[in-house]
Amino acid sequence: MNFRYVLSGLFAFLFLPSGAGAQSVIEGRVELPKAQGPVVVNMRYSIITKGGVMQPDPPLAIVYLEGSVPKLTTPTTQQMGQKGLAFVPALLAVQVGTKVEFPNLDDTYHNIFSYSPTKRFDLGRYRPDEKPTPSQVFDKAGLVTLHCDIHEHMRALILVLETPYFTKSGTDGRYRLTGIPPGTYTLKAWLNSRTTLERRVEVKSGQNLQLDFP
Amino acid sequence: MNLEDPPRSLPVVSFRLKLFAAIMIVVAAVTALTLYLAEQNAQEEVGRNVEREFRDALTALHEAREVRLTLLAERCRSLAKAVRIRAALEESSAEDLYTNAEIELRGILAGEPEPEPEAAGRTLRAKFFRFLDAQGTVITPGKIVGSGRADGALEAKLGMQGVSNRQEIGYLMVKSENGEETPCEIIATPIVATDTHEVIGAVVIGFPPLELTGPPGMEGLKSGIWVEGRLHLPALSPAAQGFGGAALARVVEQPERAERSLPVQIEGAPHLLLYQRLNPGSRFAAAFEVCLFPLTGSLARQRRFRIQILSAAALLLAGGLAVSHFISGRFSAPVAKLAEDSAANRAQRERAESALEITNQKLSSRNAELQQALADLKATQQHVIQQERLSALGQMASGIAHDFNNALVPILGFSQLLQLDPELLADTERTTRYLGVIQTAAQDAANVVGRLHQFYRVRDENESFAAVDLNRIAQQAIELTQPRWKDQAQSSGSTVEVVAELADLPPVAGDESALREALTNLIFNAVDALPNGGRITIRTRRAGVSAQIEVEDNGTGMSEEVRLRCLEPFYSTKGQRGTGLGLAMVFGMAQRHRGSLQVESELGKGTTFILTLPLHRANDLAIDEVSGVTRSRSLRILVVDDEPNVRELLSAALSADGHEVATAALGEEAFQRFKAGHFDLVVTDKAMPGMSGDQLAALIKKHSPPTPIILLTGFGQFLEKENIPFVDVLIAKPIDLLALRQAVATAHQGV
Repeated sequence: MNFRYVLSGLFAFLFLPSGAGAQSVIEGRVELPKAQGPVVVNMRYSIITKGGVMQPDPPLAIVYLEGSVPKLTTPTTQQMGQKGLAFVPALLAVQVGTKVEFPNLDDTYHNIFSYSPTKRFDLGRYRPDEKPTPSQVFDKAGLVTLHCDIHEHMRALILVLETPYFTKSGTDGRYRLTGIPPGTYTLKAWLNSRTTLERRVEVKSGQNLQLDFP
Repeated sequence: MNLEDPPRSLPVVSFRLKLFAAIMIVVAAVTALTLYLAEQNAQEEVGRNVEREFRDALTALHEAREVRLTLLAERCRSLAKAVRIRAALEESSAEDLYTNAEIELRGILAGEPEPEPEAAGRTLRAKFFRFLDAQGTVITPGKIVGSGRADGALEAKLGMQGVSNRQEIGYLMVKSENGEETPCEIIATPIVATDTHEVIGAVVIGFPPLELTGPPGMEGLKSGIWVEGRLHLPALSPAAQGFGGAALARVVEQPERAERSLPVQIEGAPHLLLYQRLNPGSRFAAAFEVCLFPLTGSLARQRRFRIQILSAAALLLAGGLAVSHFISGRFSAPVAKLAEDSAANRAQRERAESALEITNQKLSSRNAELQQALADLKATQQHVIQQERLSALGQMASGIAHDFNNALVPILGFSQLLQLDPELLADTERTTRYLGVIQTAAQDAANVVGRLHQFYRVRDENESFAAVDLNRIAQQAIELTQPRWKDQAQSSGSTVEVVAELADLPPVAGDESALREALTNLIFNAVDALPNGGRITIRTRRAGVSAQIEVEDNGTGMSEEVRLRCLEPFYSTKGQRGTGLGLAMVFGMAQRHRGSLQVESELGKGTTFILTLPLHRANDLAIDEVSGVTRSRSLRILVVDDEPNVRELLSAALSADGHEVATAALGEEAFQRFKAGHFDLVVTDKAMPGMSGDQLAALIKKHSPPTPIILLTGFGQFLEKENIPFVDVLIAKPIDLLALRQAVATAHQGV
């Protein structure tokens, strides 16, 4: 269900700004850091902290464009559920102003909180059938670390971005950004809480750019 | 003690003293050893007891501390696990960190109401806390003033060189609100990431240290903490704390030191100080738990015990003194006696030894002398034997001369009497008796000569004796000796009476002349024993298979010594007058006759000689029995002798027997005569000038073997018939006519 939400959201996000006709695609491959643990086959991943650095495991990157990009005009809603005593997804990228709901899909209590300066909140304990679904609006760009007060191992990251042009790479590092209007941007690849790679990119109309990191 | 004899009593006194001293030394040594061991034991025991009590108390305290620490550590761990704290740490949000920590430590932090009232020092309340980041740097709470109640100076002490992944315990001196510094127990607990198990920080919580007080019975036990080079022992004065701290500082610099205790003097009282590292292996500065135990109690106990032991020792020594006094007294009494005895003994022994030594020397010199003397004696003996032989020969010669003279007395006497008074010749009876006496004396004189041989001759076993009438011999002896005992005695003015008491006797076996001579000797001896006159009694009697003849005098008698020695040859009491052979000869005769001579004598009362002789047996042939009977028929006899007297005697005797006799002086002449005429018998002398009797006998036997030859010899005793092969009968000179008659008969019959 949340996949549907995510996909529909993503779909809307990707195709709403279109209309200028000359939209470009940037695709490529990000060199990902080595996996910390065994490769998770079902594509589920978690956020781990190593040396004070939080990163997805298995590694993946969030690739996004910064520059003169349109702000989010209509509030959108994203979801980060708790299922099987884990955040799903454990890494979420949202545009500033997005409301993220934290539905409890487990049979137990969860208490989502964050001490991150980007967004400090504490949802308190809530049951699975808590209505309305506890949510937060992330109105400031930055990285937010989420914890569950009850389940110490649960951790999630929400990367709050200014831009609507962003995508999550596969675990192979491959990414594809579409519907990008022509312009000059900074292409960034977020790898973990401390590492973000970037490069300048000039996108021309209808251009299909092939850009790899590094 | 003998006061009159101090030199002797002194050793005894010293012995007693020595014994006393020795026993006392032994007793004292044993006592001292026992005491020493006992005290050592006791001290060790007390020491062990103290230490055991001490350690027991400490163990109890430590257990309490361990429990508390475990509890605190668990709290710290739970705090370190708190998600929000970890989250705040991850976000490096000091505000969130301390805010959340204040919340989390609500039940721990001091100032909050205690769940149940607890004694001070046993509180589990934290005094302060701080977080460290992964590098060990203190995260300051920043604006949150009062949070954790730690000032900057304290924070500086809390930092660690890298956070360890285990709990660390440390001790710090913390300045409290009133400015007093008190030790503080801090527990640093690492905060670990749940996923990577990475240490992302630490929380350090400070607690007031558990103030250890001794359990009941160990109230004197004081405990404190030694940290940062200082001793914190609230029960002690600051000066004493400083002293103890200095003492410890020296010790704790040697971490390998096994001994964990040291005796110290604190405020003048002995204490046992035990210390133990409170945080072994910790990254915090080393801190030691210090326990002080006053030893005054145990020392007092030891003192009491020592006094007890010493009094026991004193008692023991006193007892030992008494006992040793008693024992030494008891023992020294016999020793005193022994000492006296031994002193006397020693003196005696020394005297005896010196005497012995002298004697020994004397003996050895005497021995040497004796050896010399023995050698001399041996030489002398040889010499004396030689001399004796010569002397004996001379003595014997003089004895023989004496006896011979004795024998000559009647011969000379009677023959002179007859020659002086020719008228007597008409008295045939008297003349015949005189002639008989003369013949007997001459016969004796002849026998005296034979004595030379007889005296030393060993008795011949086969010698046979004739039957002799002892009474007749006795009468003859009395008659023979009459000139001596009657005439000589009378001339010297004394009267000697001779009495014969003769019993009826069978004949004895013996040599008549020897017996007569022996008896004569005994009578002479008796006369010599009667210088002033007296009586000589001659008795004969039968005694079983023997006959006895006694010669008794009532004269001077003999001493025992003389009596025992009187039969020895050459022993004489008569000086030059005696030969010493008379009685010896009698004794030799008695032995030769298988008889015995017994001497009984009493000085002043007289002497009795008893001569015992065996009786004659029937098979002993006696010449006397055949004499006169065997008178052979008339024969033609040739008599050869160079001595005209003998020739005449033989011729007369043989003619008287009815034989026809021819004579010849020499051997050649005789042989001529023998060849010229016919002779039935030849009687010849042995030793003749020219042809000897032996040669003549050989010639005659060669010429006419059956003719018997009788050889006459003056050496008759020294010859055996077998040594002269041609002679049939041997007759010894002087010639007994009866023997001659017998020989003629024997020779003729043998032919």
